[in-house]
Amino acid sequence: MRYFPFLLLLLFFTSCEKEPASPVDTTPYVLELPPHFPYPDIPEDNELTEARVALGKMLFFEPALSVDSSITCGSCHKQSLAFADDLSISPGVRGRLGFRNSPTLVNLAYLTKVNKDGGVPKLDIQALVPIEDHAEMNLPILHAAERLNADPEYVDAFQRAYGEPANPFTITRALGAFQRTLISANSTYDQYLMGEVSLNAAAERGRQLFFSDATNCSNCHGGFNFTENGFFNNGLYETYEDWGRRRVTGLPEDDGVFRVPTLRNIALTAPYMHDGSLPDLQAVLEHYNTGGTTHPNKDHRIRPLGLSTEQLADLEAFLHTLTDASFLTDQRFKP
Amino acid sequence: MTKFKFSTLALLAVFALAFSACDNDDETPEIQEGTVNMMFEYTVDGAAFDTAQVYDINGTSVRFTLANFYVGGIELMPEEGDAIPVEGNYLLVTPEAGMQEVTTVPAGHYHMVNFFVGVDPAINSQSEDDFTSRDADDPLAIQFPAMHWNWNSGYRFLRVDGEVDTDGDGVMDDTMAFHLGTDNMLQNVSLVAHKDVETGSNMLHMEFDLAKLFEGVDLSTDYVTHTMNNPELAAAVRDNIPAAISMMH
Repeated sequence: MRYFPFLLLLLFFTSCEKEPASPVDTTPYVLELPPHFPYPDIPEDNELTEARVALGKMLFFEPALSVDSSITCGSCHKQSLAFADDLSISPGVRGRLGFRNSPTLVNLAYLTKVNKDGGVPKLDIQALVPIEDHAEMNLPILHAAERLNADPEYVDAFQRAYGEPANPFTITRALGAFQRTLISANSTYDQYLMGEVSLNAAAERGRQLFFSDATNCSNCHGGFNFTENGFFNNGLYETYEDWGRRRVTGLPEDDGVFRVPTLRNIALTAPYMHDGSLPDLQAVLEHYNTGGTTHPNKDHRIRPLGLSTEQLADLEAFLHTLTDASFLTDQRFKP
Repeated sequence: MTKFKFSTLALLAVFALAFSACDNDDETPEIQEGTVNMMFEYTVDGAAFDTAQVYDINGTSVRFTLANFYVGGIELMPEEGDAIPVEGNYLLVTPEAGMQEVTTVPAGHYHMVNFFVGVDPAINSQSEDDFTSRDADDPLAIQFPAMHWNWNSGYRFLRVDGEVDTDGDGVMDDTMAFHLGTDNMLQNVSLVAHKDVETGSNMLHMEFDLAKLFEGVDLSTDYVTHTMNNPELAAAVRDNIPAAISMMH
């Protein structure tokens, strides 16, 4: 009986305790890569874990990240199209149109500067752009955090992933973590490199052309990811409505300069160019074959190539070998 | 009992001696310090700032909805000696911000205060710490209304939004937006303060006159710049910043 006051006190304190927060799950997520793919640099403050990637996927397909809950990241980045879209300009909330073509998200883990003009210095804050942009999801990131923190499922998921609630840091990092897992490395061409298949005759002729000095394709679209991540003017226009990198740097020499995109899954990501103005691969190849316009910033490697119709067809056949069919149906990337 | 008391006292005496021997015999006089705060009083050509008020600026009717800016690189110049920099302290100045603590400095006379409107290039680059990785109470953390750009990652150094009557018919017919950012929009400000900092709280009370900010700008035609889309207009406003900020007392 003399212990009764202590028991009462104990009861008082235990009844006031909050539900214990979920512990942070640090189970690492390891990227599966073929030998010809380097392991990408992963930021120290956003190491890949199962919990972070899972949370990022939830957010990628979360309509609450758009102001009227009408669209998700996945609305404009469709897995069946290598996480690109088949429209020149994809509509944002209320059908608003921006001014750039939705890019593929494959192999973003290797990007240093993000977006077509390189205006974002790292993938881990890129998600701010679509979430906040007036013509995309149009939701201030602080409002997005409020919404997510009102949902117990997200409260738990953020706690397990980062040990803290939804906030600008954890939202953008989780989306960055998921996007880093979107590795496409199993195209026919990759299988060819590993000696598993051979290319058909047309694709083989196209491969040789692609890597030859006659076309210079691989000068810009080189390396394991078919881009050196350079920024160039490819002579698409005489006058650019969209300034490209000049919009970021303010420099006239950056007028009409855009990041060279990867060519992986390129056959799936029509229409092409920064504004989606070229409808198909034939139009793109024709553009490079004619050498483009005479814009003063046009890169010197863009010049008339004089390729025959057959050679253009061979190049197109080679580009089709960059399609990674297994990536398009990979269950890990589905909602 | 007497013996116990004696030994206890002796022990205490030894301890007292040991500790007092470590004392500095030269008594250093305590440095008198004062806290310095800053406050920006918003005005429009001398009139009090009010978001409900329509103002005439250079013949154009204007109503403001937002007028925020960052202040950094603050340093106080004492009468003698080197300037005292305030490391890493940024202020987000808004019409509602009121008095904001800046630093603590030795009491004395300070004849100048220097600062810049903007954010220094290293922080503005977002390459290391970025606006998402800062504590929520850090003025450089993401704000609402936004003081950052997402598409060209960096801060809006100064953001003035509002409405403008472009044709003079008495109806506000378009949205005004002056968003100044990128490294070359950083603007130094140097003010004669003649401030005697005393112990306790001290205030540098400044005026921010929006009419002077738009001196020489025809707001009926030039009322939107996101810096890169109209760098000339942004530069004109940037160049007006030093004249728009003055020391009150």
